[in-house]
Amino acid sequence: MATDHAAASQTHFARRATGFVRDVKVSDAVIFNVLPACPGLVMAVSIFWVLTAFSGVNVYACIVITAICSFLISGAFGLLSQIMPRSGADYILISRSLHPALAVGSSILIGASSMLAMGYWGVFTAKICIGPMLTMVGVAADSSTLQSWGGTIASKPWDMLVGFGEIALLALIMAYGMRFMMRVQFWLFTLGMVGFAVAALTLLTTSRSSFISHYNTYAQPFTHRPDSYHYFIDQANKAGTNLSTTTDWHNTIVASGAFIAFGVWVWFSTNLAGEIRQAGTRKNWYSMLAGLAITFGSILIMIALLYHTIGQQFLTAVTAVSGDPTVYTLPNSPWWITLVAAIHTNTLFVAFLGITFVCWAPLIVYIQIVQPVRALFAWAFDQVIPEQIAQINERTHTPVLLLGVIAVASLPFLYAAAYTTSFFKYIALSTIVGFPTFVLVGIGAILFPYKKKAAYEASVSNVSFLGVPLMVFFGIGSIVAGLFGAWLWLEYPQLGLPGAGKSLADQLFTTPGSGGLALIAACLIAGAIIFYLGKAWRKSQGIDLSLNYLEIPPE
Amino acid sequence: MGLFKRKKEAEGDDALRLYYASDIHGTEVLWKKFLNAPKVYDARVLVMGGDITGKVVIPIVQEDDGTWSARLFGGRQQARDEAELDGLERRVRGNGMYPYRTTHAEVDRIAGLPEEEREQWFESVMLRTFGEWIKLADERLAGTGIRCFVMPGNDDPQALEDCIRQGVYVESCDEAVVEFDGHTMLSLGYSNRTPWDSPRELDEDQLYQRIHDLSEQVPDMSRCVFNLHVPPYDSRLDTAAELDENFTMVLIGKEPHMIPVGSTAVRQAIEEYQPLVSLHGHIHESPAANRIGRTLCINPGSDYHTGRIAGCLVTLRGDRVVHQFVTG
Repeated sequence: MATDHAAASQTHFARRATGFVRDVKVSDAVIFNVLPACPGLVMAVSIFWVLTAFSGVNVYACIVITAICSFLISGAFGLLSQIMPRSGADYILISRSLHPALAVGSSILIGASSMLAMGYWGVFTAKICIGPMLTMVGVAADSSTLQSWGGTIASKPWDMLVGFGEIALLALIMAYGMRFMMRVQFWLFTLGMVGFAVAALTLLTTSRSSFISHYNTYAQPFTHRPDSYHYFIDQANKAGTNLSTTTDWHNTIVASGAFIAFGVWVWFSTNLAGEIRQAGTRKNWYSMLAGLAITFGSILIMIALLYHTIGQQFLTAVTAVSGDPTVYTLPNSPWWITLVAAIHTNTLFVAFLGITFVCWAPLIVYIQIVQPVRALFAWAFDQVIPEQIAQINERTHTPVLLLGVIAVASLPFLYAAAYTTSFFKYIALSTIVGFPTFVLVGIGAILFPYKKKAAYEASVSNVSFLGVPLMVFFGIGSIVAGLFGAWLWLEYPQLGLPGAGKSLADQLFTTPGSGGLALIAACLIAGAIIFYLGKAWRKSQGIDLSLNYLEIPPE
Repeated sequence: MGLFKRKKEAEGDDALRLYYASDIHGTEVLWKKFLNAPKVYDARVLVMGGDITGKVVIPIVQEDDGTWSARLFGGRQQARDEAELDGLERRVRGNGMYPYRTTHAEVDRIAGLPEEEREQWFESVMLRTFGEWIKLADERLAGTGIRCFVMPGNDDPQALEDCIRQGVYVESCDEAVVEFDGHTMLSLGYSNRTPWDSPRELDEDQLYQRIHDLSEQVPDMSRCVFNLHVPPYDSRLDTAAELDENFTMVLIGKEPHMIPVGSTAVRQAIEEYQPLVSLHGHIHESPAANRIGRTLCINPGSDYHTGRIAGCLVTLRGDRVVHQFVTG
């Protein structure tokens, strides 16, 4: 119970009275909003994906496009969440501004995204974090055992088992208490960022010629060539890879879809809005903007440094040839971190880089666990589903049972990610389901100031521009960003969405795993069924669920 | 389908819907919403469970050029005419604060008052505003047949009770047992001791004694509603940050240490008397419903600064109860 102390000043007079505090600090919320696009991991996945898949891509432009989309979406989420600072994110925002059936559907869409992401990031933990880290250190320490372990852990079924172990451990930590989880979050994030900064500093202080020399020395035992750097460029050229650095704007716009997949979730702290201190103030939205600045600022800096020291042409080439085992014979994929590790082969330095890089993995997995838990909580609090589902443990004050259920439910998603032939399919499906939510929240932001005038006027979101509520502009922006993202992913098969490029009808009338629109429709229909079943069930108990979503007119 | 078979007794003619809210802390828009709740929720009984008055007075100072100015939300707000001044005052009231038209000289005078005198001045501002609220309630409730019970909480001054009693359609219920539609409601707005030394606090044994004395007036606990401002100890309705003697949060690893801060006396009384339902406020950040024995204990929490009133609909029929949290 915090309070206004008895005090007098020229601006206000306050008296002794009780008040309250919440569990999550604004700084924790900022970190939380960075995590959906953990700079270290997004760099590893997106950059190397787009450089080869989209020739002539201007990565800087992709990031700017994504940052604009993210800014618009965060505005709609942030301004609405400041009015309704309750945990449950899109469910709370849409149910109070549009319709609860759509809100449950949206919750399922984001839940599906989170579960799919839990699956592929869980598998990625071994595949692109622990495995390469062990191999990196093994190479530096000249230890074939570590290199062998690195290869083993990145392969099936170890990648899936490591992913499940990670999810189970995270669920256990979250079951112990949110404050403890926030401390774990802070330290993992700090370590990840320190490693990121050290890598950036290493690149900044290394010249291109120095990198080429170091890389050739590093690669020589595996390629048995004196100049592996230029060898990979030549081989990529021969294979027909476009290594031109001239911007192809069409490809750049399409490639921005790859960054949008990770970069438009800076509103994720709305899942915890009810637990964030001062969530009813502008700090709520500002925490998203700070998350956005950290995410995109650090990625932009790192890309600039990679281009400066390693070179765009080589990055494209080495990524392109890394899929050909007759050409690329190094034990590690050419992620940015393994390339930086080639600069200084000191074992301690490489181990430090590797360990700090691994820190990102549990962070990105943990936020995927938070979303379904908080969504189910919000449903249960509104009595759409039985309250027992969100039962709180008396001792830890956390939903132990629900966390356990989520951990077990992650198994099929881990299996699917580990044993798929098309890894990007899951990233694609996880991405496409987010866009309808951005559109729905955008519509909600447009309508809210007019539908629930009293709540809007009493809030800090009551800000107008040219006589129109600022929320309306951001609502329109969120709709445009959502439609733009959906269009990219539904239209361009290069991004990996099953059925992309076919007619909308073909993408709709298929199985949910084979078409993004089919998955969206399935989630929305499931949402409507759950809501109306819940409503009928509660009506039989004398509870009218529709009352939950009304605003009482003050006049 | 048995699942959807309507339980007639839950919504039958003799079912009574009660709307409970608490801790609005001087937010006028919430008081207005509270009074309009019966229209939206079809409730026949309204209960305001305490901590009704605000914590901050905002001086709106007349400048030499005739305009009015105030510091609000970290910025200077200016009103050039009466319409803008009304708008400014509405914004102040809408955020749980009291506007006070004044001069620079008076602001300086009040700032220089001893604490006790300043508290008295503060109380006079609060009571004047609350008197207006009571008049508004009488206007809105007249002829509706709705019973509206209001009691002060631990943060409210003792004199608030006199204001409540001036209402025609607003009924005072603090430290009393009232009856409606075959049910009784036992009310007590005092809390156990808090670090704030707020106006209406009691030791646990005193709190228990008062509840005990009131309970003797209750004919049937299975049809009784407890309306006790402070929630029962360690009930999930009472989790808040621990404070030290300097009102600073106790941190463990840089995080606030959350502890149960409810009343052991209230818990003991609920365990012993087992009323049908007990309604609580006081701890804003701990909204929850939980059973202690057969008693359903409810705290709807409070987000008064958001302009939305957190409340609970409680449907009573005989010795059965159904609850629903609503934020309007």
